[in-house]
Amino acid sequence: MSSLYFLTTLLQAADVANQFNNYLVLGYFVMWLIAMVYIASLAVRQRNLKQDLRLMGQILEEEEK
Amino acid sequence: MMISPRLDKSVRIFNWAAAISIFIALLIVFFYAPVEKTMGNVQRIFYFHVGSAWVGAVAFFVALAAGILYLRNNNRKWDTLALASVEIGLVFLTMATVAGSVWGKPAWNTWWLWSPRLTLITVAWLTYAAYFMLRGAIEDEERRGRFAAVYVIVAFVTIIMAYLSVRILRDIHPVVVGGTMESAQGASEGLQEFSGLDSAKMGITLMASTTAFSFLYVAWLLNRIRLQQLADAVKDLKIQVTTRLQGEHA
Amino acid sequence: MSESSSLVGPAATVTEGRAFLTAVWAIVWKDLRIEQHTRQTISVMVMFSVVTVVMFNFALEANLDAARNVATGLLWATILLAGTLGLNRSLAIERENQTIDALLMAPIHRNAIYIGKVISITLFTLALEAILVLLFIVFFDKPLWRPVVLLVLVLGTIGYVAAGVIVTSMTIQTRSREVLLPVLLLPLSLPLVLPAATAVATYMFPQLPAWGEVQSAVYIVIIYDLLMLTAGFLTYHFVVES
Repeated sequence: MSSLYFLTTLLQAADVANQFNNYLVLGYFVMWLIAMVYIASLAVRQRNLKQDLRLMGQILEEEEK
Repeated sequence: MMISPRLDKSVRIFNWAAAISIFIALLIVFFYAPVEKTMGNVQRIFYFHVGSAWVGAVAFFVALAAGILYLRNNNRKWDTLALASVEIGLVFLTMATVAGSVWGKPAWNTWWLWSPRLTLITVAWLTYAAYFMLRGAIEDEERRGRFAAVYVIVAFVTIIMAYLSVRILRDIHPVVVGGTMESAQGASEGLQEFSGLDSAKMGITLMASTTAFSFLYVAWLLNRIRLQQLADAVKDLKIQVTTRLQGEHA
Repeated sequence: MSESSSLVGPAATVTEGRAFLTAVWAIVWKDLRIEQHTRQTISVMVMFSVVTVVMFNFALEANLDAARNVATGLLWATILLAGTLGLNRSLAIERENQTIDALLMAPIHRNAIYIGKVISITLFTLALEAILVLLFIVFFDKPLWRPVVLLVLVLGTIGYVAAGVIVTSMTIQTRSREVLLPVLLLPLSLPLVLPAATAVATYMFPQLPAWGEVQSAVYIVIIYDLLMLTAGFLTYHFVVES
């Protein structure tokens, strides 16, 4: 009973406003995706560089000895 | 050149500012903005589409300014700013174009068409993507900065042409600001005239979106600049290491 | 930047201006003379273009209608590609013979070199286009002789070469040289080529179209020309200093 009520409410919502139209969601989703890819690339590059930095630091320290 | 703690703090602040403002902007876009008459809810893409396109153009303009400043006084930081700004501008341009394409499907019944503005935006995208190829082909740091600066100045012409074309040529892409020539009026699809409260709401939503993207731009810019400083530090260290090792085996 | 002048005010400007124009003309004349003797640049461009046109014509032989429809696009594509050859050759000659160093040491304004090169390479490209137009009229049966078409070709070439000289001056100093030029120049020149091609295409029909139809396209070409020449004028100095 309650599930039926829930379903009708859902369908009504979808009907009335189509607030979350498919294309709308898709549009925002791809924008988000592109942003995530860029942020990920920044993060990866940062991690690699920090690693290099540590490595170089280590080598130089060893050279000191 | 070591990473300054002040930069780190700025990065943190703007990361938060960007995240929060984007979240708020999304809420405004989905729940505050009115439903558009002709297109319905799909029109909401407009807010982030325009927000990212506009801030993207600003990013390329900042790169242009940085290029000019670099040519003026040869300070490395301007080259870094230009590089970061072009990269982020390209990302924003990609976001705007893809979002526009997704909006275009329900609006014009096609994912893409070679209208003047869309073509010129693609051209601008290619031009700025080529910026990185130019940089990659030059070893000498000073020359690389100089040529990159010149290129970024010349490349801005494509942005000017892209934004100009819609006002002069007939185009299916709607003109939001200006566009009084009759050919621009031919492109009224996608946006309807609103009166009173509704158009004010749309204006506010657009401002919220643009503000959010501005914060995002600054946040990414600071991150990218910090990344570049890190890269420079690593490069310096690598030189030190190689000279040290070579000295040993000499 | 400005050469020392014992005059002041308007007289100095006139003298400087005259010196500038003399320098420009000297460079153009030099390039024409070199070309007259060696024929390096033009021959490469012409050869490439003829081969391309023949190839296109042959490839589209089966579908003559399609060929006629795409003629404008093919024309511009050929001009663009041949143009990169011409730019490369003309500016590479300067580097090879180190004449560019001589020019830089001479007491002339840097921009005189820029304008001079733009003019001379534009002339070479226009000579090439004359041949192309002839070939296209013959092979594709398109009325390319119409004055507006020629006007658009001239204006388009100026803008293309204006951008080309800057970009080529940069690319010939890089590792990738010739390979990099099309990648950088072609996208950059599209805001010019697209309206130009549209304008020319409008004139490919038997009946003469109204000027109003191509007016905006021609204006865009002119705007591009002005923007590029300005950008080139302002930045050439930074591209050639060693």
